[in-house]
Amino acid sequence: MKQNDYIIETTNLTKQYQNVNRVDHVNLKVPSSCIYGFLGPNGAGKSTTLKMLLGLTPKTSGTITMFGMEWNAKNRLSILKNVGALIESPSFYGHLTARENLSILCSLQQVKKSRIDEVLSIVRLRKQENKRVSQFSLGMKQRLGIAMALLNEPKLLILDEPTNGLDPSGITEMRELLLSLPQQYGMTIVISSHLLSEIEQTANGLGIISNGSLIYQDSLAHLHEQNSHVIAYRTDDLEFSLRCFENTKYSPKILDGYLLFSNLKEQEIPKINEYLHAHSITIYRIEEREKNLEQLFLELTGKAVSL
Amino acid sequence: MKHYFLSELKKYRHRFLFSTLILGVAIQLLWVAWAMNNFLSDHSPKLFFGVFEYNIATLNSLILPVLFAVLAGRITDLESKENTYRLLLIRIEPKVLYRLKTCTMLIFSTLIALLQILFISIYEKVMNNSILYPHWEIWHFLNVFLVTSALALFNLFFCMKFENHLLALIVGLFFGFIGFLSTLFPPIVSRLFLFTYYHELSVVVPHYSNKDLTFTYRAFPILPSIIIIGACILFYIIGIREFCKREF
Repeated sequence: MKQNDYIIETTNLTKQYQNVNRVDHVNLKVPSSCIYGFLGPNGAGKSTTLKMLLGLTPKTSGTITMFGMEWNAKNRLSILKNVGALIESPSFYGHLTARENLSILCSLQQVKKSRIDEVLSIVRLRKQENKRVSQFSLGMKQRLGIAMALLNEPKLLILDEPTNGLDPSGITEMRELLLSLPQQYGMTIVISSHLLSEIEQTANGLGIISNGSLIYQDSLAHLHEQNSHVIAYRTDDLEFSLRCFENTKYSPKILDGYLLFSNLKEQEIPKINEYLHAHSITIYRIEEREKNLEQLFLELTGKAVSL
Repeated sequence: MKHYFLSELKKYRHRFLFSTLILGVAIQLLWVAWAMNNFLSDHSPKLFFGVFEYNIATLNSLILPVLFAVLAGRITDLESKENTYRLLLIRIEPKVLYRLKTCTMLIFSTLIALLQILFISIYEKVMNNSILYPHWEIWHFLNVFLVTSALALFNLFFCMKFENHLLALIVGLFFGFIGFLSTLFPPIVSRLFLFTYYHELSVVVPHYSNKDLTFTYRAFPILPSIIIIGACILFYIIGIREFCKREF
């Protein structure tokens, strides 16, 4: 990826609380016109990183570049004019209607009033526009939050858990909406989510953060290419099979009645077969499996054991 | 700045802020009117302005700390309830948002002063009394506006700092109680409290002599007004610095 194709670029971005780096020298590189999935376990530093990008939390050290401009206190707002955001949970004035909430933002951002109708149509809240937001369901509030983020026709959309509270049909609608935005409006989207299956269907770029550090950053396709090969063996004695590999370079694990080997090269498969055979282990079945994002994520973040 | 202020005003729809303010002031002024009627039936109408000013100052000390704790609580609560700071502060600088809230509180202070002046003028006409003190409207306005603004800015800082607005209300009630009794304290003690400056900045000074009540009129006190203006500036600076340091 070329350097000038990045819409967000951070260099050693760090946030320290009480001498602990909650975000630790993160070098984010978000390409333009992509849907960038920003994943991490709870407490990994996702929301803190996104808040630093928006200036809601001051950074301890490091630099942020957005739209090719270095981010500082003076140009923060002029950069953020091109950004829409929904962080943690939707923010709104419950005593006002959806339309009134959007009207406040229109005045603030000097956006034309007709844009209210457009965003309400995009998120399918036209019928509820004159209802007080305090009476909205969680899913409707989430959609209003997205509408607010889209109001200023941003070039960059930052969404933290946008599908929280949505039912399956709402999640599908949200996915279709998010997929259409880069195509229709040339928008770049950064989504942080725990719904790995949704990220897998939506994102094409990926950043995985764990304990404040960015442990993976590249395209989703590349992650699958690197880690997809899992060979599963069904044997007559799985525990004994596992013990046989204790002092070898292979570190298989037992899962769902199979002995799983990750990232095996093709040439190694017959060697494994011979090794098992040499230990008088009967092989009933050999399968090739593709890891899904959840498995890759759990492996990368080291959470498989704790779960 | 105009569009920022317009967006700020739009937030106050359905919050009954101005109704709360008018109700609070109405209760205060009706109380004063009732006290005036009782008083003037036994005393000379020449005491009209002095008594009115004195009673209003006493009730300002009682009611306005509570009223402004409520108003400051309401205008900050509508942001902190759903954390709309996250929504606003990517569009507006924190200091600009704080200034908008400050302007709102100063508008409330101005309204209260004007409502009181209007009430006194109407009451004067109804009771057919003339207020002998020249330009009393200006001095009354300055008195009420300056002290109420200091109170408003203190409450704004307090409510932005402590999101539990029950705390602000308790503080307001306590200070209101202290304010009501403030004239009983020695001057060196009473001058420590903001709301006692309603009397300090008043142009009327009561005198009791052998059960006779008289009032003397003085020029607008400069030193107490400088102290109050200093308090306003101090609360504003502390408030804006505290708010801008926050993480959202």
